[in-house]
Amino acid sequence: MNDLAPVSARKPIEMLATFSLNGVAYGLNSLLLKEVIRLQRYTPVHRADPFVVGIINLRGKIVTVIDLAGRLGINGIEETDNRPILIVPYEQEQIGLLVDAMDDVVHISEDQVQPIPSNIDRRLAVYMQGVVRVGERLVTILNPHAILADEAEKNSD
Amino acid sequence: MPPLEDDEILKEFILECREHLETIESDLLKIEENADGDVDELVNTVFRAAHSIKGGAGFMGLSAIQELAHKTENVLDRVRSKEIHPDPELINILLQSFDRLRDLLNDYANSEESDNTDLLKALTEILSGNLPAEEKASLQETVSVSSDDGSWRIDVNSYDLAQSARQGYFVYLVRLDLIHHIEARGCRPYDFIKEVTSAGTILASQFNLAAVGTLDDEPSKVVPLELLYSTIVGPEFVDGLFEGVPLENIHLLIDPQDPGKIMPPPNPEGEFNREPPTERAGPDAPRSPEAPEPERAAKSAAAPEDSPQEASSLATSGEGQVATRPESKPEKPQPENARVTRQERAGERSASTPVEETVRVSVSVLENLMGLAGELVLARNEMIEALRIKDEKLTESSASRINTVSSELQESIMQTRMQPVGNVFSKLPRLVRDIAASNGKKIQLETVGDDVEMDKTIIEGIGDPLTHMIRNSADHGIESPAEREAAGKPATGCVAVTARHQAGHVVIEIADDGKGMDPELIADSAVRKGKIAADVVARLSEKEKLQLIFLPGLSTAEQITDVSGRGVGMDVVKTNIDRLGGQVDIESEVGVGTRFRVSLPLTLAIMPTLLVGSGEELFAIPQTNIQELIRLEADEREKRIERISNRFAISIRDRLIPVVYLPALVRGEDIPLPEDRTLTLVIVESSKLTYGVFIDQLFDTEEIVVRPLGRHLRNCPEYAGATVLGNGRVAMILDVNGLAGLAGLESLEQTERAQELADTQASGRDTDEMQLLVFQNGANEPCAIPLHQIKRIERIEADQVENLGGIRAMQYLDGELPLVCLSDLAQVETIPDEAALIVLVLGGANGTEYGLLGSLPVDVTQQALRVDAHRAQRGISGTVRVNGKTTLLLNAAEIDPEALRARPALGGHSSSASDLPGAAIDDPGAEALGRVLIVEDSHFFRHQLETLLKAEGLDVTSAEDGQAAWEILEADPGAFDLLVTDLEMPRMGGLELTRQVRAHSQLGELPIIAVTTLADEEDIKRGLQAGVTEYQIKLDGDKLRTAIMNHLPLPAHE
Repeated sequence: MNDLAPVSARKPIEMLATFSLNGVAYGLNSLLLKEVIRLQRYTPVHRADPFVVGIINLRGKIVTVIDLAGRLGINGIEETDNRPILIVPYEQEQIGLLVDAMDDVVHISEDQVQPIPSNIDRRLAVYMQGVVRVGERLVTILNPHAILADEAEKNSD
Repeated sequence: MPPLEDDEILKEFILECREHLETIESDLLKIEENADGDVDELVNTVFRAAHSIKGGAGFMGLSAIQELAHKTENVLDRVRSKEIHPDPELINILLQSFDRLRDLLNDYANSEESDNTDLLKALTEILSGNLPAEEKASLQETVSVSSDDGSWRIDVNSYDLAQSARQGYFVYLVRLDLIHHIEARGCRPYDFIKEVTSAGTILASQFNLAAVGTLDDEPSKVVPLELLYSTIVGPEFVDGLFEGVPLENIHLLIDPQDPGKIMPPPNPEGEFNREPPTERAGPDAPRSPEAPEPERAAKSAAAPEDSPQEASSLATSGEGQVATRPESKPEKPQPENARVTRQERAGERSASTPVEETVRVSVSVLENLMGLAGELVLARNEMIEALRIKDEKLTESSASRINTVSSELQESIMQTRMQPVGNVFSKLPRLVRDIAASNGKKIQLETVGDDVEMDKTIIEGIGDPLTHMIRNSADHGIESPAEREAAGKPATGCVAVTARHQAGHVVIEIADDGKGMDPELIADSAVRKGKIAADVVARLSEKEKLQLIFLPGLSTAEQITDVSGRGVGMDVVKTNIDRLGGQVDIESEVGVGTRFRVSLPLTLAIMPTLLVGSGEELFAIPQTNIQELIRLEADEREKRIERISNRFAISIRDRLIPVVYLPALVRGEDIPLPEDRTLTLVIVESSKLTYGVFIDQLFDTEEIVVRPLGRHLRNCPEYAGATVLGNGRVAMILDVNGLAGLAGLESLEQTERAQELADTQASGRDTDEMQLLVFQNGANEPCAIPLHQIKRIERIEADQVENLGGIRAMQYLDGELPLVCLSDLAQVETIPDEAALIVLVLGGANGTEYGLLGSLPVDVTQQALRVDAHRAQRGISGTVRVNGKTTLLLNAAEIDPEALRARPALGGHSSSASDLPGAAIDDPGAEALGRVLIVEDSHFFRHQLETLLKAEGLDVTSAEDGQAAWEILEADPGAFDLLVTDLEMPRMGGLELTRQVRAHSQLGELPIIAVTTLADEEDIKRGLQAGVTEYQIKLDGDKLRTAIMNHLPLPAHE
């Protein structure tokens, strides 16, 4: 982990779980994640929103799996089998976020986080908290509430 | 602002108060009932509730609650000492006070803004009405008591202080420090207050915030809490209560044993009474049952016991049992097997107060659970080990052990959710009492089976429906005492509520001995309010008529009362019970009483279901929703399934039931039913209707554990949840109500109408209901045409329509079919170019066929024909309401190009009348081919028949009913060649007319054609017996025309 940017002593340190969607790096605070599993068998729910992949049985619990790329409105990869799912507990339920591939967990300090560039599409920007440079890569930090809440909840916020 | 905003403590307090309040209602009612009997114990219980609410509220800084609780407590104290008699008036005010307290507690955040002066005033009046004049004044007065050194003072109601003195209590001024004296002891302030109030009363309390200082000062080391405390505990023991508080902070203000030692406060002298304790002194300091240290309480009680007055009061109130009281007197009359105490009884009203729901579980159940969890872990370890060493036998045995343990675990956990139905029943006495009081009725409530247990969810859900049914019984069922006596019944009516187990269900019955419900009145009311058609009602059994009260907006009470509302309620009852997977049934006998029977499942969490397959996916249908399974062989399909556009219906035992195809529905795609295969149909019953679901595969029944779906699937009403099956696969649980909604079956009409149609088929009676085919002409211009008149419906492309010399036609079968557009004839929109075209193939005059162009979508409805003729024009009889939309009703006889243009038949078969000059209609001068009398009460049908027959060149006379027709016939018996009559008519029906005609000397031979909407064998037989020559279906223009022609004398010019 030598390639990390120097950690500031004053600012809190975050562990960022990074992953990729369509070749672009994204990150979520790793404390939010309960576990990462691989997508195998799932039950589609046809009339649900298009970004809902379906539901899975996670040790007896029903977990809704969301195609994160679809949620963000960007293109993802087609293949579904064996792709990683981030299991995120959220308000009394667990939600699965289907991503393309997992990367490292990196340590960042808050002052490394930069605001979202202003030229990002506003529809996309609502899902983002900021960007952070990790080594060579630029990682977009996602806003968990924005991606996990359903539309009705977000409108009422 | 509450001085201590500790959420946890506040919540605990609120929960505890609710628990106290839970039984108060029934206790108060019992007190009222036995006002002259032995109610000391009950009064004590109620008193203690008010007392502890007061104490806690004071501590939490909820002064409005404290004030009301305090006044209530004062009144109860007087009741306890028998100074006030608990008459109904008083109980009423007490009930209201506790109601208000409950409301305030549920919304404690806003309680300070509440205005309770009405109740406070009423309570004060009760107190002062029973007080000697000199004490009355003290109720409103406040005295200020100062500490020895005068460094602080506390305000107290002078009545309270005097009362304490009079009752022989020691009164102490105590100053303690929250930090040093309470926190240091390792307990929370609230626990401390509870402990202290278990042995006495806090007359007044305050925080000395001035002593805390401000932020600018050095951090304060003290948070002084100052109390004025009244107790039976003497000075030698009181330091035990206030452990850790230096003695100099406890100042004895009043010593009952030595009145001379009473230290009057420096301020207003003589304000309180110095008289020594009297024998009417209350039994003891209020003591809550969970007194943490009964031993000490008993010990401390010994001090005042020395005085003879105390001893006499002990004898009456059982003070000697202080130590044992906590065990001997459970706080609530809970059945012994009740393991769970519901704390959230007022949950429906507590929306604004975020108090989390809790379940109280008995220690033994919890220990059992712990034991099972331990066993499970052991079994798991064994299993892991067995798998590691690959010992098959050990694997098997540990699997079976896990199996046993998990079943037991499941059972035990279910137990924690089970609650006695008495939790709901306890609300009822008050309800009945209030209804009786407001209506001047006398009603006795009996409840049986309070200890029957059901799942928490169901207990919570049954409250409202039960209340509605009790209201219905008490308000509408039970008569006034005068009416009852006149009917020879006891003046007091009885409402009995019983709960019992029956075949894996809990059955709750609500029976009253009131006037019963008259099925005819209900039916009349339903008809009057347009809820159901009169002729449908006529066919219902009495029981079915009673069930009509569950229709929305129906109430049998002649007058609206404020108790049972405005005809809302009973439909809500049904909806709520349906939602719980239960059923409700009514029995009633006029003059004897009514009985509602509600059958409910024990639990909702585990559900027996039927697993079905649709494509690759699995679905579970709750068994309670399933009526039957039907297997349709491939060769039966054609016969049984009625196809109307893309909708299906099936006729089962004379009922026409809409059916849907599950894969098509859940995918939201138009998937056709698989061809040439045996189909399985599941008939399900939703709260509104019965319908059929075609499935691809049928699996087993399985008890499943219901798991809720996540937030992203909230907008999928077709699912009630999901479940994990034994093989790890996930099955969606279907919600039959949601599924019906998704399929557009939510309107009651569609199936009810289908039902009516089937009923009509079954009974063969005549109605003016018609099956209409609805299609689109203009973009939003629905048109309807009686289904009988349509031979076929074809979907065509625009380029199939040919234009032959200004006349539209299309290639059809082996000829050409002339096509008509409604816009050719009438002032209507033209069919939009982009519309999906259809052709309705209709039978024209002289056996020809023609096509009417329209567009999708098409639909079929069963409709009472109430035709509004205002918008009638050529080709259009008028308008009808179809599914809430104004729809043009077409008159086929006026559209028929054959009748209009007398064109030669194209591709149609010829009939005996094919060579009749259709031009007759254009030539009124021509001799009529025959004289026909039409008897029909419906304006619409009469008009249709007239048009049809006039088009054939007949001379038509009409009559509105049999009587009018008979008068016409009698006046000129030879005037007609043919009688065409409807059967069901007012004044005189068609059969009666037929009999009269046949009995007449000159009319005897007149051919009579009876027209009905639908006829069956039985009807035809009756008609033939009466003398009907032939039966015809109304508006089956082709056949009717032929039949009429057959019965007319040959035209003179042929």
